[in-house]
Amino acid sequence: MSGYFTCHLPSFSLMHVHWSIDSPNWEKIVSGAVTDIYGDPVLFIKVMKLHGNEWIQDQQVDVFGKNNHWVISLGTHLHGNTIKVLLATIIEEGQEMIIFESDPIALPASPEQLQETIPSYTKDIRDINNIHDLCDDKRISS
Amino acid sequence: MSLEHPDKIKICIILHAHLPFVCDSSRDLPLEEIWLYQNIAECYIPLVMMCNSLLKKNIQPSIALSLSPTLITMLQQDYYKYRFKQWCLQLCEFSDILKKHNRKAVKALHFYDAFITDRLHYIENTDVLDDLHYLADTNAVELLTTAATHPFMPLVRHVPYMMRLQIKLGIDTFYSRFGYKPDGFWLPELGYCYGMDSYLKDENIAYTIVNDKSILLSNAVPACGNFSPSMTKSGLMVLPRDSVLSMKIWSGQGYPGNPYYREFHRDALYELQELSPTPDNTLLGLKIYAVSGSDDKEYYNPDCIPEIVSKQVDDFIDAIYKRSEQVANITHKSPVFILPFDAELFGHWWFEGPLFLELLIEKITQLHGVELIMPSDLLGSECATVDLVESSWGKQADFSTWYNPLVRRNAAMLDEMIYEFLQYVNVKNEMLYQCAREILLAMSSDWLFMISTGSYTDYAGRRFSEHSDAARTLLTMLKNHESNETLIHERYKKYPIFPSIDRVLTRIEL
Repeated sequence: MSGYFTCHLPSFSLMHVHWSIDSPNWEKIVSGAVTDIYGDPVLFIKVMKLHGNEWIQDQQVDVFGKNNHWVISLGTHLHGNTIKVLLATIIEEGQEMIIFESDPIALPASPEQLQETIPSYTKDIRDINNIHDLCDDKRISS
Repeated sequence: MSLEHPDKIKICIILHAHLPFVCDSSRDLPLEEIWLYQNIAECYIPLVMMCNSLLKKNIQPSIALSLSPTLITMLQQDYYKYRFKQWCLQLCEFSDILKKHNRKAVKALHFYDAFITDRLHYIENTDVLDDLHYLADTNAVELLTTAATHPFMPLVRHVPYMMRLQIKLGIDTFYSRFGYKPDGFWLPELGYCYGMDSYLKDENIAYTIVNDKSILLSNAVPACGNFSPSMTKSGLMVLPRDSVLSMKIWSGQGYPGNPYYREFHRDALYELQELSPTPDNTLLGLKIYAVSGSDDKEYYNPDCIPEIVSKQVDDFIDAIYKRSEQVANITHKSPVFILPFDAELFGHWWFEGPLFLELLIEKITQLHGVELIMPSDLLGSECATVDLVESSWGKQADFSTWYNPLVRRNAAMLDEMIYEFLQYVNVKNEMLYQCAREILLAMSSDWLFMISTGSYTDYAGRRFSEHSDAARTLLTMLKNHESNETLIHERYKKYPIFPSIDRVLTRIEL
């Protein structure tokens, strides 16, 4: 699939997901996927957690758009786990079709550990700019 | 740093002047066109007057001003001065009616009469763009451009052609009016998406402004954070906004909310419709109330304003010092505070804004530890390289103000039109040029903002549909190898913008 898909972790509990699907692929998805009330393909982001050797679903967030920017809240239970993020749709037969898939992402074991990896000036600068790692809303972006 | 005084706190004020193309000569002074005239009277002329007043006191204003191509075009229309005068006269007429009706309002109305008379005198003798041109030529202000029709650029990031067209046409419109290419480019809504820096660098743009989150959420925040310019890998200098200081002015609890200040949200006509001088009760923008403390509004009293403004300026300077100390404790350097605002905040929404700005500039020049700079003063400074994060200055710093369920259909329709348009870009005839104008006009971020926020939704929806429908009609004709000169002429007459679009279109490769 061409276009791009990036997952960005600016803080422990927030992940910024950006995607852009190129036009030929978007048209293919539109023609084959289940659509929502706007006639757009149903899209969702899945956060998968590595459990032993198996990937299990942690959360699913409904999203939309040929290209968009979504902010996902990652719960504390994911501390220390490896996750991957998928952008997927449902094709008409009811099957899931993965559009993009991230590489495995190893999350630090604790927010403190993440904090330790952040240079102190970054912490201080974020602090005086009121950038707080407080978000319990799974859909703060749309 | 190549700056003269590296130890001084630096303040860089950047104002962004923009209105969508709202002129419509086929109608008799519509409400939307009055928005332009209100801004000319309350914001653009006062800002020019402020600069001239400072220069008379031997003080360099040293502010940067971004001018959108749609605004530049409207301020070049032959008839705008005539319509501006027509609006001023209607206001005066309404003011006279009100004076007879309500004696308590007389003081506020006399103040407004003098204010409007002053603007009439200005417009009869000079020109906003000419004055700005002169101020820029004498290095008193610095001018920037922005994208052609002020779209939220991340929405077209998957169409490089459209990104380039918006950027090139923005620069071209600026060049046509001022005769030089600007160093700076304002990203509409400070909407930055990956790769945008390269498009700007390709057009020899030296710097842009980003929201602080584009720097602060980056994986490697530069050592000076958002208190110094940074450089993208492509070599574009980025000036990150300081949201914290900006909010003293921008937020609902900021300076403009002082109860003695003029109330923006209440037009005199709301309560006195039966006295309207216009047949359809158009809101003329006669605002004579003070913010007050409740819905029961007092009349505006200009006598007490200078003292309040002066105190607020002192408070702001105090905030600059305190924040600078906070920053220097972390970065061990004097900060550069980048303060970008919508220009229309100063005068239109916040009537006392130009006075605030004038006093602020005046007081800063008297301070030893603080200096005003313009963005190009920072060119050549040592900059850390940064990987910018996508951001905007909208709600939550993300894209949701311009891309959300309320406007997703608009975005999808734009996509469809743009992709169809791309099939014909090599045709190069008047049909294609007008089609490009219509698509560009439909792309304005203002329509999406108005629909998303429920403000003048009908007008925004109507304008979006009008341009989309026209573009689709032209696309169908292009597909069928048809031509309709009358249609092109009528559409261009209604929205006379980008006369040289052909010159720009031929310079972009698919």
